[in-house]
Amino acid sequence: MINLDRDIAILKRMNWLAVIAIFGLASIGLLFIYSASKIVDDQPVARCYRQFMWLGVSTAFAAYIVITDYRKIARDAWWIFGITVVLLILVLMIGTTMGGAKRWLNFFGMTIQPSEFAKIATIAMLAKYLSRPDIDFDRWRPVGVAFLIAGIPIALIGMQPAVGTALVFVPTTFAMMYVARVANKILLTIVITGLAFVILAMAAIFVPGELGCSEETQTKMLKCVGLKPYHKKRILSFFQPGKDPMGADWNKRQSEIAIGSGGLYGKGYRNGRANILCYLPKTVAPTDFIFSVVSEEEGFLGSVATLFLFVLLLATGMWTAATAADTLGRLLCVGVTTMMFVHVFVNAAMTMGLLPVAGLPLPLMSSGGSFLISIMAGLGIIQSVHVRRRYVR
Amino acid sequence: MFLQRDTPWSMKRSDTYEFSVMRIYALLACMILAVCCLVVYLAYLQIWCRTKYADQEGDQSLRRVWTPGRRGSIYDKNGVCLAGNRASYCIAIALDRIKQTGQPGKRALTNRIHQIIGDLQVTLNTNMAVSNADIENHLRRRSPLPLVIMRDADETSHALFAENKTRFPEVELIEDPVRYYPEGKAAAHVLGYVGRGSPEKESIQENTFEGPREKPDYYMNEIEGRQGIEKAWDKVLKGDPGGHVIRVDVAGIRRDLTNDTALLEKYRDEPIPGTDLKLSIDARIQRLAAQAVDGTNGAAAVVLDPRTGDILAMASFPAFDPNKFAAGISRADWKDIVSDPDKPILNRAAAGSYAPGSLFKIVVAAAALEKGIPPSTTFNCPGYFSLGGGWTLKCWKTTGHGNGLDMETGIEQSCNVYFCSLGQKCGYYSIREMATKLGLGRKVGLDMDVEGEGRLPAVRSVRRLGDIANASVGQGAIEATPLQMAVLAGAVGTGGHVCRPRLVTGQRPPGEEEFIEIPPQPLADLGWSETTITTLKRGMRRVIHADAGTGRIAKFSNDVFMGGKTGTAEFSLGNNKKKKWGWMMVFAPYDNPRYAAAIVVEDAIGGGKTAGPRMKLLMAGIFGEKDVTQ
Repeated sequence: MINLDRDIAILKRMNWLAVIAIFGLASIGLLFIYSASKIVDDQPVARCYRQFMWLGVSTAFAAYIVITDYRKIARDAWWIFGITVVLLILVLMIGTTMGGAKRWLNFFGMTIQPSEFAKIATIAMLAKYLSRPDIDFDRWRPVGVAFLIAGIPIALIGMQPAVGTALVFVPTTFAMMYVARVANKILLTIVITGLAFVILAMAAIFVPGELGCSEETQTKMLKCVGLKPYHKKRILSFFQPGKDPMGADWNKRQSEIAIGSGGLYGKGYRNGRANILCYLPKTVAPTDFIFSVVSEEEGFLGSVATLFLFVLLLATGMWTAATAADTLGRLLCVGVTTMMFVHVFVNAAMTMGLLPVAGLPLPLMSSGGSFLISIMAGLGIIQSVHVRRRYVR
Repeated sequence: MFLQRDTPWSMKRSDTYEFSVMRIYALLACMILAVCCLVVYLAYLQIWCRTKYADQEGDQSLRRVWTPGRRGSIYDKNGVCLAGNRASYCIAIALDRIKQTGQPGKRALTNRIHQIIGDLQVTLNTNMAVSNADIENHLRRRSPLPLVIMRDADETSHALFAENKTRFPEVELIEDPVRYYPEGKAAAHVLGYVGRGSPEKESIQENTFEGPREKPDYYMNEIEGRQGIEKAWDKVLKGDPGGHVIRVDVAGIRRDLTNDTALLEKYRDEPIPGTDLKLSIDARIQRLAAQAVDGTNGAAAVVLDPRTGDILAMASFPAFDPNKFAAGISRADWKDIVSDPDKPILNRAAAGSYAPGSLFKIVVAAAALEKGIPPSTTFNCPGYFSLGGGWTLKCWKTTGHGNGLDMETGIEQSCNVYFCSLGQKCGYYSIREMATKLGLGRKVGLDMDVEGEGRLPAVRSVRRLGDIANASVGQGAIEATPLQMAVLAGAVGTGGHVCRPRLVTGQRPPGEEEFIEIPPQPLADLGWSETTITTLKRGMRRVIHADAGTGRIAKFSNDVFMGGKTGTAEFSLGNNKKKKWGWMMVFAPYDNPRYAAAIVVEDAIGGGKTAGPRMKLLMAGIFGEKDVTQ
C-alpha cells in the first residue's frame, strides 16, 4: 500500500548529512567519469549519461528500501540470498568472458555483475543469522555457520575468478561477528589462522621461485594454497615494480604518476595529462582508477575532500549502527559500512600503489551500474535503520 | 507507533548493548585511522614526491622534434649557384587530427590512414606508393610526426588537393625544402648528392637542449650529404637544427593541449642555417669539361690552377643527375644506378685509378735530369727495347725512332725505348722518389670525401729489367688518378712547384655578408734546376706544337702555347684481351701557366687520337672567350 504522506515522513527522518555525502560523491563521480572518458576532440557523453541514469534508478531503489522496514528485508533475506547464489552459478555457466574472467551476465542487453548484488545479499543474510537471540557467541558453531554463509559467495566469486571481490566478504563478515559480540578468543583464533594462511600463500608465491623450482612445481605450489598463476604475477608486479612496465604493472605505475604529478592543487578539471593522453588507460580510468583522475586533476586538496566525504559517510553509517533499534539493524549497518570502507580503502590504496591491483571499484564514484545499485541499496538499508532508530536523549 | 511494532528480537541485555556500541565505535576508529594513513601517504606522493612524478610524466609524454636549419648553398668562384634549396610541398596525414574513440590504437589508425590514402588517390588521380610496411614503420618509429604520403607534389596534385581540402581535414601540406642543382649532371661528381638522413641513430645535439631527454628525438626532413662536397662538408652545410617540444599520447600521436603552450614554448630552440660554401670550380669551365668527357666511354677530366691548386673543373663520365636523388629517389631508380656496370656514381677524376702510360715519362725525365743526367743524352731506338733472354718491349713506332734521340725529342715522340733506357740508367729508386714528390702514389689532401691514391710499387718489387722498363713507360703496377696527372702537368708548367688541389675556397657562415676566404696551401717547391725545367717544358711544348708531336691534334691556336703530353696505357683484362686508357695532360699558357688539365678516356684508340681532340675542345673553350689575345 502506498501511503505518500507516511512515506515522505519517513524519508524526512533520514540522516541528511549522509544524504549530502552520498550525492556529493555521486556528483564528483559523474564529473570525473566525464573527464576520464574524454579523449581530445571527442565527446563521449554516453558513459556519463548511462551512469546518470543508473544513479536515478538506484536512488529510486534506495528510497524504496528506506521506506520498507529493514526487518521485512531481513525476513526475505533467504530469498534474496538464494537468488544471488543462483545468479552466481549462472555466471559461471553462461557468463560473458572479458579479460579471462567470467563476471558478467547478459540480461536483456544489459550486462549485470551478480557478484556486486551478492555483497548486499550476504550482508543481509549474515545480519539475519547473527541477530538471532538464541545464539551463544561463546561457542564455535554460530561462527562456523556465519563463515558457511559467507563462504558460498566467496567460493563462487573466487571461481569466476574475481578474488579481489571475494576477499571483500572476509573483513565484512569479521566486523559483523565482532559487533555481534562473538567472544574475543574466537575472533583472535580466526585472525591468527587468517594471518597464517596469508603467510603460507606469500611463501608459496615467493619461496619456490627463490629456490629455483621449475615452472610446473611453482604452479603446483600455488594450487595448494588456492591461487592461480596470474595472482602470482599481479602480486609479484606489486613487489617488484618496473619489471614488467607494459603489462601488469602499467596501470599501477601510470596511476602513481597521475596522482603524484597532481601536486597540491592538481592540474585542473579535464587537464590531467596522464588521463587525457590515455597513459591511464581509458578502459580503467572511469572505473577502477577514477580516484587517480580526481587526484591528478584536483590534487591533494581534491583527493582529501573526496576521502573526507567517504569518512563522513562511514561515520554516519556507524552512528546509525550505534543508535539502531535492534541488533539486526546494527549488524546491517556495520556490514554495509565495513563493506564500503573496504572498497574505499583498497581502491584508494591500489591507485596509490600501496596494494596490488585488486579490481575493487570506488563506491558511488566508479562507473558501473551493478555496483552503484548494490551500494545504494546498502546505503538505503542504513537509512532504513536510521529512520527507525532508537531515540537517544 | 509504527516504528516500534514488529520487533522480534530487540535488545536482550542493556549491558551487552553498550558493549556492542563500544565495538562499533572501535571499528569506526580503525576505519578513520586507516583513511588517515591514506591521506598521509597521499601527501607524501603529491607534495613530497611531486617533482619526481611530474618529471616522469613529462618524460613519457614530451618529445623533442628537431627541424633542420636551411642547408647552406654552394657557389662557384664567380658566385654562380651550384647547389641551392627549392621549396617543395609534401602531402601528409596529420595523425593527431584523426579522431579516435576509446583507447587510442594502432589498428584503428592504420585503417583510417588506408581509407584516406585511397580517397586521396581517387581525388588527385595519382598513385601513392605508401606500403603497409611504411605505415607500420612510421607508427612505430616516427608516430609524433605527420605521415608523408606524397613527396614533392606536382602543380596538378597541389591544385586538386587545394580544391578538395575540406574533404580531407586530416591531410595537410607541409613545406619541405629540396636540394636543387642548377648544373645537373655537369657538376654531379664534385657536388655529390644528398639523401634523407636518419640522425635518430646518432644524437649529436646531446648538450644543446635542456628538458626531457629520456625518450628518443625526432627529426623533420633531415637532409644528409652522401657524396662529394655535400658529404665531406655535411656538418658545415647542415647548420644546427632547432628543437621544439610536443606532447604525445600513449600511442605516440601528437596531441596539442590548450593549457600546455607556455610550458612547451620554454623549450623552443630556433634552427641555425648552414654555412654557404664557395668552390674553386668555375661553372663555365666545368661545363666545358663535362662536354669534353661526354661520349660513349668512361672518361674524366680535371682542370686546375697550378698557382694555387684551385680545381676549376672536375668532370667524370658517365654521370648521374643529383636532382633525382634530392626529392627522394625510388628504390628501382636507385638499384639501376648502383648496379650499372659503368658505375655512374664513381668520381673517376678524383678516385679513378688508371695506369698513366707515357705521362709517367715526364716523371722519369725529371728524375733523370735531377740526378744529373744531361738532356743531351741520346739513345738508339730500333723499335724495341731488349729485356734480355729474347724478351722485348716494343716502341709504339715499330719501325723505330732511329739513332740520336735526345730527351726533348724523346718526350716529343714519346719514345718507349728512349725512356726504358733512361729509366734503366737512372734507376727506379730515383724515379719513385720524384714521383712521390710530385704527388703520385699518395693522397694529395683534397678537401673531399673521395680521393684515390693511385699506386707506386715499392722499390724492392721493381728489380728486374723488365719491371724497370715497364715502370719507365708508366705501365705495370703504376696507377694514377686524373687529378694527380693534372697536378703533375701543373708542376712542370710552374717549374717544379707542386700544388695541393682544393675545392672549397670560402665559407659564409649565417649572418655574414661576404665569404671568408680560405687561403690556399703554399706550393711545394721541388727546387728543380733550370735545365730540368726548360728541358721538360720545351719537350712538352713540342708534343703539341712540333709537327711530329704526339699531341699536335690538341693544338687549337697559334697564339696560345701549351705544354702537354699524351699517353696510352695498355690494360690487360686477361684472355689476351687488352684495353687502352687514352691520356692527355697539358698546362697553358706556356710561360705563366694558369691552367693545368688532364683527361683520361677509357677503352681508347690512343692518347693523342682519343684524348687529344677532347683536350683541344676543352682548352679552346677555356681560352676561346677572353684569354686568346692575352
